[in-house]
Amino acid sequence: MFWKTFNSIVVPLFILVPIIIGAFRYKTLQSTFKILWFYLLITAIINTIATITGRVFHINNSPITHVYTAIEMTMLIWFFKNLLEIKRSGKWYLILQIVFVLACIANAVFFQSIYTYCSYTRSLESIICMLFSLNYFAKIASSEKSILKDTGFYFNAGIFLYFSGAFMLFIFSNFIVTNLTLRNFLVVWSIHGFLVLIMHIFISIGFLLCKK
Amino acid sequence: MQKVTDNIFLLVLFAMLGTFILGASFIFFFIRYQRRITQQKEAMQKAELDHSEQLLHATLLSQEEERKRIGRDLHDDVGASLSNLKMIMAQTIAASPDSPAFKPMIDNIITTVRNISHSLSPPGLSLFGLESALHELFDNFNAAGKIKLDFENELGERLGNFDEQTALALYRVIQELLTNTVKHANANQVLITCFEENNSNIITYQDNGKGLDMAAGRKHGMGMQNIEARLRMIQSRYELPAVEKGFFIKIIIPAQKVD
Repeated sequence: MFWKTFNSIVVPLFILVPIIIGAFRYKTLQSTFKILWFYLLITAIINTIATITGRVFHINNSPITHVYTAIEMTMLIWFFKNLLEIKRSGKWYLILQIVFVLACIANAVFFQSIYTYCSYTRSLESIICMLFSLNYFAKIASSEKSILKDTGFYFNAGIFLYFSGAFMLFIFSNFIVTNLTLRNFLVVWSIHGFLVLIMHIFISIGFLLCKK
Repeated sequence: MQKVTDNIFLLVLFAMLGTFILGASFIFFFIRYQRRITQQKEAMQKAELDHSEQLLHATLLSQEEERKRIGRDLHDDVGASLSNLKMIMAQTIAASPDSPAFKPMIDNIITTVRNISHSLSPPGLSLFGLESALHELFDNFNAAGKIKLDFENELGERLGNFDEQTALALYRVIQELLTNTVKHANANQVLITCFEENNSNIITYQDNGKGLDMAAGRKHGMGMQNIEARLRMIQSRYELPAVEKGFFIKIIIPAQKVD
């Protein structure tokens, strides 16, 4: 019961915390962080649609995950392009976005049915996000000021912790669905829920630290 | 079958925790590493700042030594030679009354040399202390008659008891302020007050001139930089409170600077 409540109520609703903080501080947010705020907003909307589809209409909502993965990666690439202040190789980021969306379509058509979890693209997304995060850590490593005062650090750390923790879950997700008992399945997804909470807490701190 | 399922559950659990711990540890060590780098950079910057401050102090001290030596040479050698010349001229004039009147010219030169010598190295400072040296400086300033200078000393004898380095630094600061007032302020009144506040000795300097351009004055004025450097050398500081008209500076000297 606890795991069910935690996974279906606490974790999905917690996304409202960074969204509300970001909304109150919207005017102080840099354009880079506004992208992240919109990403959270879209995530909340898609989560709500997925929950209604699954719980109210009892329809398999895996196709939504396929679409969400493509949208999430596109927005996160856009976010990291701005965070890393990439100007010269900007077109490569656009190419990466297009290639990833095409990879999601190819995966859904040829490899993993839209009615199963898109573990290949989710895992690939995790690797890309971790690489971007490491790139940002390398960038701020020689920073003059303390990184704990750097707002970008909190957003980056939140994303890095989430994807590094959830990476293995994404790899084994289809395996878990078919091989684990319901109770164990819920425990594993609760760990994923904790990772989501950690990411949203870090993003909330980042929004709170934003100054004009 | 059950056993296999349990193992997969544990494997997935360990794999997730393991990668999360790896990520979290990376961030933890990254923060520590970056903090250490920042601390090292701060320490290096501080060491550079201390070094340049020491160089500045050494420059100011050697400048004072040089001024003292030139002042002493002017007073002892050139002054004494001029006095001898004056005596010889007096004898020459007594022997031949028709010779030209060189005496007033020599008197002028002697006065000029003495003034230069005193401004290079205030003679009363080491012997009688800051109060006496300031009185002499203010008397000369008032004698010029362009600006009226008032001096109020509530510190009493304590003003004369500053250690020599502090006294010389304060003397130079006030000299610099007076020069600034004469050169740039277009003022006709100066008020200098000395008093005690919160266990510190305070000297305030105020004129009724056109005041200081805060941005330009603090950043670029050599005079203000000199004042700042000299005060830092004696662990003192200054404040520039806003005033309606003119220039106002408050110099704060720690109480322990008194002998």
